[in-house]
Amino acid sequence: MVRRSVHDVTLIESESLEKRYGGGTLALADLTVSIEPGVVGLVGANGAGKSTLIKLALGLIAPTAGRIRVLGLDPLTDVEQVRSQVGYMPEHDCLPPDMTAAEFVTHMGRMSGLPAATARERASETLRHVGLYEERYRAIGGYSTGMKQRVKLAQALVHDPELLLLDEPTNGLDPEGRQAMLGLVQRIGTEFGISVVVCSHLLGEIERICTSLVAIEGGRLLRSDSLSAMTQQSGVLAVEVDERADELVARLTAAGLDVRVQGRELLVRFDDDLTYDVIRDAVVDLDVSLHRLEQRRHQVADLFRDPAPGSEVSHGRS
Amino acid sequence: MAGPEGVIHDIGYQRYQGHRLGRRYAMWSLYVHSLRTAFGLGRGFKAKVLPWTLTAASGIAGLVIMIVSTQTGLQLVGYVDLVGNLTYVAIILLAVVAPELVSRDIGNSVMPLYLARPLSSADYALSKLAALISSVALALGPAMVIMFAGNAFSTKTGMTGVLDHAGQFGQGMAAVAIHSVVLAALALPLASLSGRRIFASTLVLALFLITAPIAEGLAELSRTPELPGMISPTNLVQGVDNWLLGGANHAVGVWGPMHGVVTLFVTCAAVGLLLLRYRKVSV
Repeated sequence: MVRRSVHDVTLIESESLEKRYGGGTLALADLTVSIEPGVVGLVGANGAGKSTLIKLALGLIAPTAGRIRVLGLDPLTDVEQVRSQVGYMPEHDCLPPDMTAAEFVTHMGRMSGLPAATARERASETLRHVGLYEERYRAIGGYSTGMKQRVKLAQALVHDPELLLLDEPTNGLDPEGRQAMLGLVQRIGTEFGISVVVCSHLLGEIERICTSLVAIEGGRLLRSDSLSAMTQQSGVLAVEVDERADELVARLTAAGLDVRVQGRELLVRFDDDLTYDVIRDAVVDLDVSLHRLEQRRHQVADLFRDPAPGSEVSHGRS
Repeated sequence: MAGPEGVIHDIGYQRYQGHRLGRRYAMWSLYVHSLRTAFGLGRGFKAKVLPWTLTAASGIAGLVIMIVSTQTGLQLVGYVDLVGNLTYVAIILLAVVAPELVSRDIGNSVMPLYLARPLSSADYALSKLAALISSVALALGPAMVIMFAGNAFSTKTGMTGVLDHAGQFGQGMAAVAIHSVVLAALALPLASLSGRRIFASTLVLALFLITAPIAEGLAELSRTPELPGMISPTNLVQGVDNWLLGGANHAVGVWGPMHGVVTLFVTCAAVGLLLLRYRKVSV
């Protein structure tokens, strides 16, 4: 089997993709998206169609309309080729409790076409990479949720795929476990050189590790762009004063700044260093005490929250 | 990743450049894996108890019959009929092993992991079926081998005796093959209906144990007891034994070919249902 280099093909490409389930539920509607190699966040609320998109990409279900290509191949006709190059980590529990992790991951490696000896070798390597050492010889049933998630990741990785599809990999983990899992995903994307599509309903969590983001809502594409394009604007300054916030807003707006109020904070679009001066002068003039003035790392969530300002941000100022 | 005092040097992630074997290889691997699972190999002691006890039981049955017939010269039970008599061993083995092979994967939702791989759902089902057939054959086969070995070594008629027993041994192995295929094909689709082993076992046992008395009752009412007798899979395969291999457990007379056709049909239908069931496995 000839392996294509992932760098010259689009990871997932869909055209007017539609999936309607038997009951008439429309899971995906007219989805046209092109996902480039890298660590790609697929974000959307629960039920937005993320898992459906993954199943379509694996050829596990057929679209009702439109087409999808994975690594330049059709997952429905080139089933074997697509699946041998893709690793899939499902959202839910999928591990047999009475097998050891080493045995299970070896078995799954063989299922993906690795010769027996290679499968054994790669299974223990992969388990080590995901952070399971001596535990791998214990039955999975006795593992913590975090360890199980690692085994799930290892079985998706054991055959060295070109593309990893991770469905909510941080599900059920405590904050520390989530950070560890995200760090692992990032390492896979950068150090291992494997492209990753990671599904999540928590945008704030995965935006740190992604090179691009695809947002879907109600089965429709909300937005798809590289993260740098999404955050190309220099950012946002958070300003917090103890009183007369509305007066400050008026003043800053009058000075030509774009100001949004979010809770107790004013989010001011940051263009250049002059913005600081304008805010400082305004605060001094109003004689209020300034609690906070900090440059916010751009939250992509801001771009999704409100479609109108979102599009404005991405295409420059209107 | 090695700690400060660690001696393992992390050479980083290694890409795999080697050959990837296809679906056939995956099916073979799944078959071997399942066969090992069936006999509890690579598992704890508990997983081994039942399959090995059953295999030993059928082996001991063969041994006892062989010793009695070689010592006394009386042919108690023939090769083919011993296979028929061991049907209950096969049924218990199926009730233990079939759920082990398929229900666990459904109950623990391992299926998505298989189906996301080159293997198709039909490949999966057929590999499991092959493993189940083989495990029944492996449980019944040794009894035949023991019978043949003992009789061949103690025959008093020289080469003729050995050849005679070789012929009977061949018939016995044919019966083992038929029983394994038919019974496994019937048991597996039932076991695959439930993700819980206890329910799956019950379904398998119910098929074989409930049909037997029903068949018996109907047979008593009927002028042609062979026909309603076919309701029971046990009768069905023993009827085929009688027709093709000279087995004497369940005489079916002129209805032999009928038993053959029905057995073939039922087996194919069961395999068809198995494949259909796995097409519907939700991912």
